[in-house]
Amino acid sequence: MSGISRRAEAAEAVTVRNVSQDYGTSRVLNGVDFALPTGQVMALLGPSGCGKTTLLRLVAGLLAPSIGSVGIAGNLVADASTGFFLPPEKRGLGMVFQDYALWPHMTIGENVAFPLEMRGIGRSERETRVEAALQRVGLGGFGARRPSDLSGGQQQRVAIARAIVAEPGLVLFDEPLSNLDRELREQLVGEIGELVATLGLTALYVTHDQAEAFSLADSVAVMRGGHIVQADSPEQLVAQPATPDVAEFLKLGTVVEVEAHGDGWWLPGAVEALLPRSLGPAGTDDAVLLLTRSALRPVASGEGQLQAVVRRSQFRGDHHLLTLVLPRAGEIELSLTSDRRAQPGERLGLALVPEALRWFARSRPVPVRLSEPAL
Amino acid sequence: MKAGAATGRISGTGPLFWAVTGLLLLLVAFPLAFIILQAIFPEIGHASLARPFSGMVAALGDWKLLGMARNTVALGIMVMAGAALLAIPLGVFRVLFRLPLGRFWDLCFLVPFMIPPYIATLGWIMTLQPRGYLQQLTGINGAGFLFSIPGVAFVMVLSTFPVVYFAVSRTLEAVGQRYGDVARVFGASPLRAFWRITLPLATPGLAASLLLVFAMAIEEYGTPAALGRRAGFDVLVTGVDNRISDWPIDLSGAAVLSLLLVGLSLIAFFTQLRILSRRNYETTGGKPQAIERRPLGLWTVPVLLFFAFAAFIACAVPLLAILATALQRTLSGGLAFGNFGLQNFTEIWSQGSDGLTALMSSLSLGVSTALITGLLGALASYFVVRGTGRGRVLLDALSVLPNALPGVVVAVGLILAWNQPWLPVSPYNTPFILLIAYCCILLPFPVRYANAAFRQIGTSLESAARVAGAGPVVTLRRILGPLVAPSMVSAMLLVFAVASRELVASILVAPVGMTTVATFIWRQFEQGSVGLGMAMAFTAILITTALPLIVLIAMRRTRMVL
Ligand SMILES: Nc1ncnc2c1ncn2[C@@H]1O[C@H](COP(=O)(O)OP(=O)(O)OP(=O)(O)O)[C@@H](O)[C@H]1O
Ligand SMILES: [Mg+2]
Repeated sequence: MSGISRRAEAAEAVTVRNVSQDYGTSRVLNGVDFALPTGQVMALLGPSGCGKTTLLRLVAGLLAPSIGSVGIAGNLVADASTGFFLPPEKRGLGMVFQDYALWPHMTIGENVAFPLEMRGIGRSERETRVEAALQRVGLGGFGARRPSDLSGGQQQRVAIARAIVAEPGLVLFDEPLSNLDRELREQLVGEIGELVATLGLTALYVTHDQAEAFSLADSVAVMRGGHIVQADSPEQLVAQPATPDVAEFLKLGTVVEVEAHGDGWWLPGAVEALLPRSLGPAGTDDAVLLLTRSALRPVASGEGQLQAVVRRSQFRGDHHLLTLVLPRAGEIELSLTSDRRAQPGERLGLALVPEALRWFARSRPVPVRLSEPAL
Repeated sequence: MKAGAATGRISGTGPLFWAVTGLLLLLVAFPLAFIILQAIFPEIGHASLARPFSGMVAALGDWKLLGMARNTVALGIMVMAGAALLAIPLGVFRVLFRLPLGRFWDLCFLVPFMIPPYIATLGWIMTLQPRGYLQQLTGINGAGFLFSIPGVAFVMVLSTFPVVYFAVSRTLEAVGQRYGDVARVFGASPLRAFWRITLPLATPGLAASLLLVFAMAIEEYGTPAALGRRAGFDVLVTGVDNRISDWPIDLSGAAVLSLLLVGLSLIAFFTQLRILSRRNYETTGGKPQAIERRPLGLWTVPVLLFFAFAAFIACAVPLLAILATALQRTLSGGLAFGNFGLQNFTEIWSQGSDGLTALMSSLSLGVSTALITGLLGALASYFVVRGTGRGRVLLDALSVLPNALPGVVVAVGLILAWNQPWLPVSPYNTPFILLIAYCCILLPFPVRYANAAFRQIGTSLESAARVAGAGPVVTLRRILGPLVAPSMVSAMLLVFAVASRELVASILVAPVGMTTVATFIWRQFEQGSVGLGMAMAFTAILITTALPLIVLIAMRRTRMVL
């Protein structure tokens, strides 16, 4: 941590400071603030319509922020307070678009050569560098073909070659794989990861696929409704989700609201407490609880702290995903993984793993800090 | 036709298919065949094949013909260039920049489509002739300019440039901005992105629209006839007209000139098709994105003035000139307040007047033409797009051919074909000959609309109906029919509007004693009752614009159109 903060501001490849964006009267981005250190990959992860593309267009210079400022490589490129705005062609970026956006009237070679041409690089050097970039994405010798002759995956590879050929200081990816089928997506995630590592790229990578984000990025910014809810390393996100929303979006487990009565935490309408009071935060009567998958361990019926009934059991290749209800502690559905198939209606005991419970204050986005040894 | 039976479509060899093919043969191939025969055998009108090619040699040896051909091509190129110069900047400003009153300008540039070129020409004559409105208002006499070759081109540019304007807007809207933005990210300046990406991508659509303008220019009769003759500027269309309406009548010469004209139109038409089918970038690209329009900044006022100027000369001048002429009691009275009145309009609308009769003839011809071409076009297109039979190649050719047949050529073909002495019956000299002429000239509209509509409907919709137990005829009636109906209604409204104002074929083949809107206006203008003619012109523009609009609005009410 301290290593990064001691470096000069120029070490930040991208700084987005308190940026808001309005389309007409609707605010699409609201106070977005983050910095991306050089040489790192940051994923912007969020559901459809949360403003990911808008944020990327702001960084690319295809849009000017309504409020706030954007910096690239330590230089201010857009500042709403002064009206300063550097057009996209002066920002020296590479970008990969969701729909490839290869120019249909140019060959593959001409498409990839375009950024070099704009930088005034001579023909012979251009040719070698284009071929090298195409080789890198596994399309050596494709230069003379037209974009319409290629498959979707090949087109996206060309788009990647075009984005990296000029070795830009920053590459923006806007859901580059969402138009491809799953197999191809997994293959390309691997290839992009390799490329990013060998070239030491700095990249902003927009996606709504959690697996993609986790496997490519050094840090992941989870976006919701126009702002960043949490930006952390993937491990940290899973271990310490900042809000129940983040936990739900990352599918970390079941999120429930609980109330404290007597010496237990209760679900609304339950005839039996869910958890003992001592496991939750002190000094409050209500909280939001994340029951992560690892927080509940299936044991024999009658054993463990909770008794559950199996609703469904789905085979997921290397495990079974069980959907359970707790008949006495409230009608909530829980899901947990198990090594064996269970029959609907079957009774199970559940053992609690207190360390794997996450508590949040109700309607407050910061987690309630618990003193470590209390558990 | 096993395949046809298997897929359950109406096979390409049924009686309906042959009925449609037969009608099109009669409508399109028959007259064209007689132009070709006449060009080769000058005595064909007397049922003789004597002296083959003598007429053609004589006509082609005539130095005047070369001049006319050259004039025709030159006029086409001038109009094309003028339309490009005017329409491309307009389209670019409209789509790529934040232009105030955008929709209003679109509406303005639709107006020239509603004013037939010959009426606009008459409006310009009233404005620029000696003691015309321009001279009355400013003292400037523009007759020297108007009755000249650039004058002819100028008026034709004003009536054709909207074709290019809307084509440029559409292609830019579809391809330009998005790909241009991508180029900006990769380091291209705005100007460079425009030249290297946006413009090349818009070129096919632009080129196709310019070729359409070229074809419209070489086929136009009214403007060169009214303006060019005084400048001694003869084109092929007026040449054909001279040879069949002025003594000595020269049918062979008319046929040869017609074939030349058809050749030029064919070249323009097929080049246009080729461009559009080979490189059309409008359909490429992923999800459509809203266009991020750039602000015009300091350029706002000059650009707005440019739009206002274009709208003024293209819509306001002809319309105002027509209206002013129609409202004057006497032309010699000039633009004086006391000289205005509704006299001309009351005269046209009075019971039993020539004007009212002409109006009724034209409107009923327009409606009939729309119904016939709509039905024929839809059926022909269905057989071509969805049919399986081998005969559909013939049908395809027959339904596309009229695209390259200018009105004057159709008229010549009908005169030649239906005056053959051996024919037992002939529609010649009856109103039906006009109906046939209009149907042949206007068939391309419904065919084009129907082709697009049928192509858009996936075959799976038909399959689904078949699987659900509907026979081919029921499928056509219950599924395809309702789906293409909105397009067909639009095409038929267009046919109605154009047919009820058609000029050249009406002049050439109208039976004795029958007057249509166009011939009425034309004659009144030639005979000096200009006010009456212009009152009719204004009435016709109003009716042919209002009726389709009312139908469209009614359809929208009943949700026939989405
Ligand atoms: N040009 C525009 N005008 C008005 N609203 C817009 C415009 N572009 C985007 N929006 C709105 O802004 C919001 C965010 O859009 P954005 O494209 O950034 O979402 P996204 O996170 O990229 O979604 P997706 O995953 O579907 O691509 C959406 O609600 C969208 O409707
Ligand atoms: Mg997006």
